[in-house]
Amino acid sequence: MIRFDNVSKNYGHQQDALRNVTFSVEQGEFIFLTGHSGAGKSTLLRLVALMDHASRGEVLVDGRNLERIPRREIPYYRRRIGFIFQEHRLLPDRSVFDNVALPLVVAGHRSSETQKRVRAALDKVGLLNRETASPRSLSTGEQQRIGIARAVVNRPQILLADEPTGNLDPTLSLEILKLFGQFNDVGVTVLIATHDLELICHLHHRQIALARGKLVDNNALAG
Amino acid sequence: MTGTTQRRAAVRRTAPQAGGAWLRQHRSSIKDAQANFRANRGAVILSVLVIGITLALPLGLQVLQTNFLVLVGSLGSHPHATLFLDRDVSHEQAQAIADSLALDLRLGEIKLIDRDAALADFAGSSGLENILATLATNPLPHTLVIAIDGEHFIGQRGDRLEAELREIAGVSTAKFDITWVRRLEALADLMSRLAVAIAAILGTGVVLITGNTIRVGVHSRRDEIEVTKLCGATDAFVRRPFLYSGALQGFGGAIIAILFVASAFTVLAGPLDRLAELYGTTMQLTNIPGPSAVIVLVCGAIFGWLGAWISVSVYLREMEVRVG
Repeated sequence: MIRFDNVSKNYGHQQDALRNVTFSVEQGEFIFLTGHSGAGKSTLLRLVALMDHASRGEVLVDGRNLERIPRREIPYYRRRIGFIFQEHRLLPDRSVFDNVALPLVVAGHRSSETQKRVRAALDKVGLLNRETASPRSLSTGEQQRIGIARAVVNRPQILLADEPTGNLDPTLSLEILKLFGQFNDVGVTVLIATHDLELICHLHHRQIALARGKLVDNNALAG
Repeated sequence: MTGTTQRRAAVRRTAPQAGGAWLRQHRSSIKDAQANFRANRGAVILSVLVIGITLALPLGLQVLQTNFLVLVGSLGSHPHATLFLDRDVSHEQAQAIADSLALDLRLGEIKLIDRDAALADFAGSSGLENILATLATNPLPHTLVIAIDGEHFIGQRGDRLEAELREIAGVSTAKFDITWVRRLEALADLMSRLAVAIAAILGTGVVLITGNTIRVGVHSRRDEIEVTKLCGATDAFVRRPFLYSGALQGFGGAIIAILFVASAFTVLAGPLDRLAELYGTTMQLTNIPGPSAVIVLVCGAIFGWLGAWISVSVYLREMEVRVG
C-alpha cells in the first residue's frame, strides 16, 4: 500500500533528513516508526501526507507516485489519510464537536451524516459527553483523543500519528495505542512515529527503525 | 498483509453528493466569515472606514461632474444660435419660421430681428448713416436669435441640432455661440476621465487595503488553515470565507462612501441654492444617481473580493512550500 523507494529528503544545506530509505507497508498493517529525535520519523510521515516532497526517490501509495499527483488532487488524496499530531492542533475557538466534524465539513457531508459520524467517533474515543466543550477545557489526554477522533471521522485508509503519546503518561499512552489497535482491526493502515521504545514493547507490531535519516531496521517486531 | 474484503469494506468511503456539498460548504464559509469578523472586529471596521473614504473621492467627483453643467448653466447665460435668413425671405416668412421653431422643446426664447430695424440699429451705432443712406437696398437679412439649453449643445446632440437648424428652408447661414459650451464640454470630459482615473487608482487602493486586512486575518488563523488543509480542504474551501469577508468589507466601504458623499451634498445644497439666488436663478442639483450608487456598491464588493483573493492566494502559495 505504501512504498518508499530509495527516498531521500534534504532541507537546503542541512544534513539529509532521510537518506535512501526503502521499505513497504501492506494495507492494514500496524507499523511503529522508531528512532531518536531527528532520525527522520516525522519527515517520513510528512512525505506520506504530502506535506512535503521527496528530494530523490519515489513514494508510492496504492501504486501511485505521490510526486505525480496534481496539486488540485492533493486535498482528495489527503481525505484518505488521518493525521494525528503530538501537540493535537485542535482549533481552540471551536467546540469539540466542530473540531471532530472538520474533515466532514471540508468534504461537504450532510449535517445528519456529520452528526452521526462525529458522535460515533467521539463514542469510540470515550468522549461523547464532551461534544459541546471547548478544547481548552479538556485534559491533555482528552485533547489527544479528540485529535484521534478527528483523524478517523472521515474513515481514512491510512492513519499517521507523529508522537501521539509524547505528552501523555504511560497509562494514557497505552490506552491511546490500544485505540489505534482498534482502528487497525477494521483494516486501517496505521503508522505511528514514536521514540518511546518501552511503550511499544507492550504491542507486537512491526517496527521500522531510523537513525540519522537512514533505515536501520525494517522488519523488527516490537516487544 | 491483511487486505481482506471485510477490511476493505470497512475503509470504503462514501462521497457526499456534489451539489448539496457545494451549498453546505458555502454555508460553512459564511459562518467562518462571520467568525473572522468577530475575531478581527476592530481591524475590519477600520478597514471598512478607510475603504469608504477611498471610494468617496471618485464618487464625489462623479456627482460633481454630473452637476457641473447644471451648475454652470444656472449661473451663466444660455448659449445662442443665430440664423441669418435668405435675403428674399419676407418678414412674414421669417415670423413663420420663428413660430415653427418655437414648437421645438429643445429651443428657448426666439427673437426675430427685422432687417430694417437691424440696419437702423447698425447705422445708429456705427455713425455711418450717410453712407448707408446711399444704398439702394438693405443688404441685411432678417435674423433669428435662438436661446438653447446648454445640455442640447453638448456632444452629438449639439451637432445634430446644429445640422437641423442649418437645413431649415430659408436659412442662409447659421452661427453658433458655441465656443464656451465646447470648453465646458471639454472640462466636463476632463472631469469625467479624471474621475475614472482616480477611481482606478483608488480602486487599486481598496484592493490593497482589503488584501492587507485579510492577510492579517489569514495569518491569525494560520494554524487553522494548515489543519484544515491536512483534513483535505481544497484551496477554494480555504479561500472562500476570506472572499466573503473581503466582498463584505468592500460593500460596507461602498455604503460608507455613499453616506459620506450624500451627506456632503446635503450640506452643500443650501449654500449653492443661496448662491444661485444671488445670480437670480435656481439650481436643480442631482444627488448620487441610482445607477452610480449601484456601481459603487458592486465595485466595492468586487474590489474587496479581489483583494481577499490575491491575499489568500499568495498565502496559500507560500504555505504550499511548508504544507504541500
